[in-house]
Amino acid sequence: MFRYSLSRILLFSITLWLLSIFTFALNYWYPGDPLTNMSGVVGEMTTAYQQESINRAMDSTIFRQYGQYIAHLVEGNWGISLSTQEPVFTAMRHHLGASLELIILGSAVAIVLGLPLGTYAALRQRQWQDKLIMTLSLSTYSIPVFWFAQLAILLFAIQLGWSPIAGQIHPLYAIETQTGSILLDIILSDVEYRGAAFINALQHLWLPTLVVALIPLTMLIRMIRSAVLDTLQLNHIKAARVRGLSDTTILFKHVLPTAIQPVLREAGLQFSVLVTNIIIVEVVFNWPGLGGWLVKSIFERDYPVLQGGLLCLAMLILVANFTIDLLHAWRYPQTRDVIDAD
Amino acid sequence: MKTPLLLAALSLLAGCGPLELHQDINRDGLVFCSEGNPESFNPQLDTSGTTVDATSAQLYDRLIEYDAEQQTFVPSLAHKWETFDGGRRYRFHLRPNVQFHQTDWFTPTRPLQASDVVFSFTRWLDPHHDYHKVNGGQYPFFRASGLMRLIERVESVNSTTVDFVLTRVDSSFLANLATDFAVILSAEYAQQLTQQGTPELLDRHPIGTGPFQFIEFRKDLLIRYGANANYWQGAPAIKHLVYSITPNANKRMLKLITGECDVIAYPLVTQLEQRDYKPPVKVTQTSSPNIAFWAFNTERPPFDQALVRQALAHAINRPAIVQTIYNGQAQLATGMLPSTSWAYQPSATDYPYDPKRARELLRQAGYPNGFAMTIWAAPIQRVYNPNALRMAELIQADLAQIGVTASIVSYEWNTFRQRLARGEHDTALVGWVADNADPDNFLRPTLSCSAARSGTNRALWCDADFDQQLLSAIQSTDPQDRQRRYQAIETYVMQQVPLVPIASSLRFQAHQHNIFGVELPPYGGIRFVNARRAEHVPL
Amino acid sequence: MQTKSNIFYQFRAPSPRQLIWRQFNDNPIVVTAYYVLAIIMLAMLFAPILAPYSPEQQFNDAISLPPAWHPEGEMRFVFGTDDLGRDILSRVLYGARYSLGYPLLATIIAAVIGITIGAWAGMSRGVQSSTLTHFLDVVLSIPSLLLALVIVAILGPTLHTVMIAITLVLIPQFIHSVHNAFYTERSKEYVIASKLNGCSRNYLLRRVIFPNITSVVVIQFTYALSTAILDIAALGFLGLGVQAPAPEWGTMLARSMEHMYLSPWSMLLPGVALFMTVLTINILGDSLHRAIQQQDR
Repeated sequence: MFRYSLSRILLFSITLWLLSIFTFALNYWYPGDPLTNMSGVVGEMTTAYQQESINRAMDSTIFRQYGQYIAHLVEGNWGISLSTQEPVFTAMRHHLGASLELIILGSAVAIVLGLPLGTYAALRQRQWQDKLIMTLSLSTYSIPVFWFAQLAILLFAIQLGWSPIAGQIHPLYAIETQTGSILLDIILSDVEYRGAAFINALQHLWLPTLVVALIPLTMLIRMIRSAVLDTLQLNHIKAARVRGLSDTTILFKHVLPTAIQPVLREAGLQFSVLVTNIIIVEVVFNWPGLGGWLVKSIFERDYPVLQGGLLCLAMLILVANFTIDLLHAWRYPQTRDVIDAD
Repeated sequence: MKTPLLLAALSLLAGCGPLELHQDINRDGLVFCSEGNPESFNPQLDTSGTTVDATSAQLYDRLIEYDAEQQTFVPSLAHKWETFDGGRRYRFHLRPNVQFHQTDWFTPTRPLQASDVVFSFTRWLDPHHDYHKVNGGQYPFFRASGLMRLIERVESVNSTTVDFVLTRVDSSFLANLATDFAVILSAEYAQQLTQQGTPELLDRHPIGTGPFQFIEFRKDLLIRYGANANYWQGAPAIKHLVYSITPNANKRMLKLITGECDVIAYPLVTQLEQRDYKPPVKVTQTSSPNIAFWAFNTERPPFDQALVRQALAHAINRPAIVQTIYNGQAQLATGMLPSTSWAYQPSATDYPYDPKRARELLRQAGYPNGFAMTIWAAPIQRVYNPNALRMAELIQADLAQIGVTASIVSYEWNTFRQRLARGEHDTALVGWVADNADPDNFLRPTLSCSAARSGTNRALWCDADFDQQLLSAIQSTDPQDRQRRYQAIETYVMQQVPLVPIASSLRFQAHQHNIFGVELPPYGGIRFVNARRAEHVPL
Repeated sequence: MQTKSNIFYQFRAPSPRQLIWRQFNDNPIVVTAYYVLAIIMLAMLFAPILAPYSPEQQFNDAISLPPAWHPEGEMRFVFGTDDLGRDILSRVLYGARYSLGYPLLATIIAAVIGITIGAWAGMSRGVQSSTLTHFLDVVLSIPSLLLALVIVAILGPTLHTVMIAITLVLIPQFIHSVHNAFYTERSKEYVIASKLNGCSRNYLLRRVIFPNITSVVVIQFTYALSTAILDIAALGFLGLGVQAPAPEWGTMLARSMEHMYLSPWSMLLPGVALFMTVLTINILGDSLHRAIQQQDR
C-alpha cells in the first residue's frame, strides 16, 4: 500500500505540475497583456503595474516567470479580478463552497437512488422492470441538461410553485458568507431566524440538486447493473448459493461488495460529467458557484477570474480522482499489484 | 449528514404550499430585482442608469432636489441658498445635524459640515486632489455637462456655509446640482481611508447621508442595504433593502410573479399584461426623456463617410423594429429630441426603409459589394431599449439585404460600456436618458466633441459646425429662436447621421400589489425612501 | 452461415461484424433508432428542400405564434414562430447542420487525428507510451466543456473556434481508447504469430490489429459524437457558441428560455430535436457495446 500510495502521489504531483504549466501558458494565449491576465493589474504606466512586473519577474526568463507564477499561486495570491478589483482567491473560496454543496448533495442523491435501482434492474434482468429502468436511464442520459433544467423550472417553480426560480436563499435573509455553502453558513450564523432560513434554503436547493444528480444517477444505474450482472456469474456467488445462503445474504454479503469495485473505479470519470453539469446548472439557477462564475468571467474577459475558476475546477476533479484511486487501492489490494506490475 | 437533509427537503415538498417567509423579515424588507451590477457605489464616477438606480437616491443626498411636479428646486442638505455677484457666486447654508452613516467600518464623529461639500466637489474639480485619480479618475457626467468648466472653485465660508464660484453666469447650474450625480460624500471618511492606505474603498464601501446604508455587495448576486436610523428626514419604513441582481428580463418577470421580487426594474410590460396573476402585480409607467439610437463609429472607415451612414440608415426597417421590439410602447424617433420636448418638431429629413436606395448610396460610396461590420448591442434592458440584442438581429437581417454582413457583439454591461468608451465598436445600439428637460442635454452629451473625449459620444463624432450651432443655441434666450436653432441642428444631424435615432420609450416599473411609495423620478433613478409594504390590501 | 447456392454443406462461422449486425436487427428499439437517425440525417441534408421558409426570414405579422394545433396558431407555421417571426420548423431543420453536421465533421476530423496518434502510441513502448497515458489521464479528467470554454475564451466565440475547440477536445478521447485497445491487442497470440511470420510493422498495424479494434473505434465514435453535439449545444446555450442568426439548437433553446412562461412551445421543437438526435446515437452506441460484450462472453 505504501509503495502504491507513493507512486500515486508522484503521479498526482506530476499531473498538478502539468496543469500548472497549462494554466501558466494560458496567460500568454489569452488576448491582451500576459501580466494583466495573470495578476489583474491594469495600465502599463502605473506604479502598481511596474511593481507587479518586478514581483513576477516579467523581464526575466520564462522559467523564472513560471517560478514566480507558482510562488504566487501557492501563497494564495491569484491576482485580482479585472471587474471587481477583489482578490480572486477569496472570491474563489466562496464560489467553491457553493459548488461543493451542490456536488456533494448531487452525488449523495445519485448514490442513494442509483445503488438500489441498479441492483434491482440487475436482479430483474430482461424483465419489464429492468427494461423500464434501462430505457429511462438511457433517455435521461441523452437529455441536454440545460433543457431539462428549464423544463424542471417551468414545471416545479412556475406551474406548481414548489420551488423558487433561482438563487440560494431568499435575499432578505442576511446570512453572512463564510464557507459559501448556504446550509453551513446558516448553521454557522447567529441570526435569530436560522430555522426559517434553513427551510427556505432547502426549498431553493432541492431542484438544482436533483437536476445535477440526474445524469450521474443514470450512469451509476447502468454501471451498477452491469457490475452486478458480472458478479452474479462469478464462482464464489455460485458457491454461496450451493451452500444454501439466503438471497438477501448473498446480495448484501457477497454480490454488492464485489460489484462495487469496478463501479468505484469508474466513478472518477463520472465526476467530470458531474462538473460539466454543475457549470450549466449554476448558470440556469443563478447559483453563486464556480461554474457560473467562470462562464461570467468569459463574457467579461476577466482572465484572472477565468484562470482561478479553471484551476479550481480542474484541481477539484484531480483531487477527487486521486482520492478515489487511493480509496480503491486501500479497499481492494489486488489492484495495487496490477498497477505495480505495470 | 446530507441525506437526511435532503429527505427533510423532500418531505417539506409534500406539504408545501406557496413559499412562506419569516414574518418579520418580510414585513420591513423589500427586494428590488435590478438588471445589473453597479459599476461603482459612487454616481460621480459613472453615468450608467444601473449605478444611479443602485446608489444616488438610496445612499446619498444632494444639496438641493428638483421637484418635477412643481418644477422648482427644493431644499435638501442645503436648507437655503442665495446668489451674489450677479449670479456668479452661489451660497448654500447647510442643514444642521445631518448625520453620516454609522457602519462597521466608519463611525462619524461629527455631522455634515462645509468641508464635506468642499471635498465632494473638489474631488472631481481639481485634477491634483488626492482623491481625483482614485478609482479611475473619470467623472463623465461633470465633464459632459460642462460643470467641470463652469465651477471655478468651491469654498467653505464657515462650517455650515459653502460658496460656489462660477466662471460665468449659467442658469443650468442649479439643475445640474440637483441631478443624481452631485452627491455629498464624507470628508472625514476620506481622511480615515487615507490614513488606512485604502483610498479606493471610498467608492466601494460608501458612506453618505442617504436613507439607506451599505451592508454588502456580492457581484452578480445582490446588494444589501440597511435603513439609516439617523436619517435626517426620519428613518425609512423599509428596514432591509436588497437589490437582487437578475440580468435576464424574463427571469425578473417570473420572480415577480412567484413573489421572489417585490419590485422589478424594466418589466416586460406586454408579457405582464397578457395574463392575470394571483396575487396581482401592478405596472406603473412614467414618461421618460430618452432616446434609443444606432451609433456609427465615425472614426472608423467606412463609417467616416456620410454616404455609407445614410445608406445604412435607409437599409433598416425602423417601423418594424419599433413594432417588434417595443410592442407599440414607444414612439418612432425622427430626430434626437423626443416629441415631449418643447423644442421638438417633426424632422423634414427622414430615412424611410428603402433597400434599393441604400444599395445605390453604398455603390456611390464605393462599396458596391457591401462590407463586413460589427453591431454592438447592450446585453441588458435599458429604459430606451428593452432588448438590444434582438434589435441587433433585426438590423442584421435588414443589412444582409443590401449585402452588408454584420456580426453581433455583446459583453457584460460594464465591460461593454468601457469598451464602447474606448471606441472598439463599428456601430453600437445604445441610447441616452436625459438628466434634465433642456434640449441641450440630448445633444451635447451624445454628439459634441467634448463628449467624444469623455466617452459618452458613442459615434465619436466631432464636428466643429455642430458644436458651434449648439453653443449659439444655448446662449440664446428667446424660446422661439432657440426652437428654430434646435430645429436646424436636428436637420444637420439627420443629414450627417452620425447615429440613427430609433425610438423613445416610456419608463415602466412593476411591483407587488402591496408595495407602495416606490418613486421613479422622471430624470432617472429610483427612490425607495418612501416605500412601504401594506399589511392588508383588498385585492 | 449456410450459403444456399452451394451444393455442399458448408458451415461458415459468421464474421464478428455479421454477428453484431444480427444482434442489432434483433432489437426493435435499435432498429427504430437507426431509422430515426437516418431520417434526421436526411432532413439535415435536404433542409433547403424540406423547409417551408428560409431560417432567417422574418415575418413581421407573425411574431411568437403558437404551433398550428393551438387555437391561435396558423397552418403556415406548423411549429409556430419565434420572437422575431421566424418559422421554428425551418430553423430547426436548418439548425441540424450546426447541431449535427458540424459535430459530425468535428468528430470525423478528431477520429482521424486521434486514431493515427493512438495507433502510433499503441505500437511504441516504454517511457514514451506511459508518459502519454498519464498526460491523457490529466486531459481526460478535465471536462470537455470546460476545455472548450477555455479555447473559446482564447479565440472568441465564432463558428470556427467552436469547431476547433470541439475537435481539439475530442482528440485525446480517441487517442486514449485506441491506444488502450492497441495495447491490449498487441500482446495477444495472433499478433505475436504474425510478428514472428515477419509481417512489417505497417502491415501489422493496418491489416492485423486494426480490424480487431474497429468496434472499439466505432463505440468511441458514437460516444464522441454525442459529446460533440451536447457540447456545441451547451456552448450555444451559454451564448459562447455559434453566433446569431445561425439557427443552432442550443442557441434557440437559450432564446426560448426568455419566453418560457408565455410561449413554452418555443423550447419544444429544438429541445426534442436535440434530445432525439443524442438519444438515437446513444442507443446505437450502447447496443453496439452490448453486442460486443456478448461476443466476448
